[in-house]
Amino acid sequence: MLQLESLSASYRGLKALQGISLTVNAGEIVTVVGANGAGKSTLLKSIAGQVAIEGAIRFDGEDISGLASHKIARLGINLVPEGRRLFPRLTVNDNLRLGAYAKRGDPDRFKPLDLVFDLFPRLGERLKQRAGTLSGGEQQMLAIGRALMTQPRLLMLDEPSQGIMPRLVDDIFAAVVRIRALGVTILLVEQRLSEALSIADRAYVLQTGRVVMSGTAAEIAADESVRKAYLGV
Amino acid sequence: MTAELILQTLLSGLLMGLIYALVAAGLSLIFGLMDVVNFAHGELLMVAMFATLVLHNLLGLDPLLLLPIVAVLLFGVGMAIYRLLIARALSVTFNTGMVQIFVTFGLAIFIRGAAQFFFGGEFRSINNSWLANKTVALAGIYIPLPQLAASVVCLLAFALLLAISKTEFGRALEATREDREAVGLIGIDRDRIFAIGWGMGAAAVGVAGVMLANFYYISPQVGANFALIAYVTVALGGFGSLGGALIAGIVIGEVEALSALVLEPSLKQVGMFAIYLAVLMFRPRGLFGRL
Repeated sequence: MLQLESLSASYRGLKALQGISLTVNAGEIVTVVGANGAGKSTLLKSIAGQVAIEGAIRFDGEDISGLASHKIARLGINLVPEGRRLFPRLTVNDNLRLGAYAKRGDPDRFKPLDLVFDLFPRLGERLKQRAGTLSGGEQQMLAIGRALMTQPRLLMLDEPSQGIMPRLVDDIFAAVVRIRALGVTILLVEQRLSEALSIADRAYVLQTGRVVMSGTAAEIAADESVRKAYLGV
Repeated sequence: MTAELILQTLLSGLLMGLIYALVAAGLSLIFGLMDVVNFAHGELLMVAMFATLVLHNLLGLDPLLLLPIVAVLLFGVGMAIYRLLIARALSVTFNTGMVQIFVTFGLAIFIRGAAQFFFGGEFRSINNSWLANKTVALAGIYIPLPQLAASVVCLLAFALLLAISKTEFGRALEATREDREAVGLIGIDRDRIFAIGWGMGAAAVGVAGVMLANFYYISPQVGANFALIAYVTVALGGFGSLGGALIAGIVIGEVEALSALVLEPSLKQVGMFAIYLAVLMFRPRGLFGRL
């Protein structure tokens, strides 16, 4: 579904990605792990069209490199960004509905709301609340919900567990598994190695902007050097 | 000083203040949306006034009938300014602040020069409009009809802007204002939103220009003074606040009218600039501004 071919990108003057090649097949959960500053976020931003890149990004075989980010989003690639980037002064309801804004004219565009409330019942209870007043976990749920409103085919999540109470982290990961079961392909960037590997099919290990290892999630999880480098055990 | 005189002054301050408010609303809308100060805002007002004058002379239509035409025209001008100039200024990677200031500043000088070239510098006016020189008398107070109509139209324009902000497009506008990167991630074309925002800001000042053309002199320089007042109004009301622009516009109108009454007409702007200094010193974000 998604192929990166020797992708390079600079971020704030630094070479953040160097010759990354990566594949995501339809229906998979693929995770990209690596230490802070390895280029994980830049990788997702590059695919979402937020960072200037060299190399090719193919989605369903079409080269999408250089497209504006809203066009990439309309193709069905959606990024839940680091820091969530909600619209804090707008209500939960408005944030969700804006996810379907690009589909104006489609009478069924608010249909994914049912799915969102099913996944995250808390959001349904806080519809009138401003997004900025939600807790970290609720904000993450809203960010994922807003992305689901765009009806993505490839959902990219950047550190969904960041800044969230441990109890809610499991809920978020469980939601990711359920979203995949609905046919949405997932590309997950995470610092929490073991949780990410436990739900992923395949994994890539990133180090200073390069892929240093890739394989099935089980292979990566079993690899001593990865555990040493990123778990400190 | 009679009670009638004071009432008369307060009323004319209110009527003028509503026009200031709409001019300021256009400026505030653009600034709030994308943090770009439109230094050519007064020139857009002047363009609207000349457009009204030219179309009035050409087609023989009354300014009131020209209102929708000029509003749409200015909407197009605003969108064109964004697409041709501002979008490019936003995409530069160095000295962004300077570029954004000088692009609209240069545009202002260009528009003023072009008006001077085509129309000359003399003052013009529209004397044979439906409303010209008509007044209504109310309990001893005389209300000039053109001013009254202008303030009513400005209030209606405010109501329209408020109604737009409640629509789905209004939400997208607010979302773009809050996070211009994040809207792209959910498929919203922020360039389109910005362009429409410029269109709306220019149309707002365009509406004010048409109504002003009914009773105010028209010259290439006319915009400068209104722009200055608009900056004061926006600073008082708070950048990006629609309600703030409305209230601040009325306050500025009243302060101007009362300054002229209490001091003397030539000092009528002293009061409003004193307010501006006070705002800068004590409440830089304005009455209703967002931090």
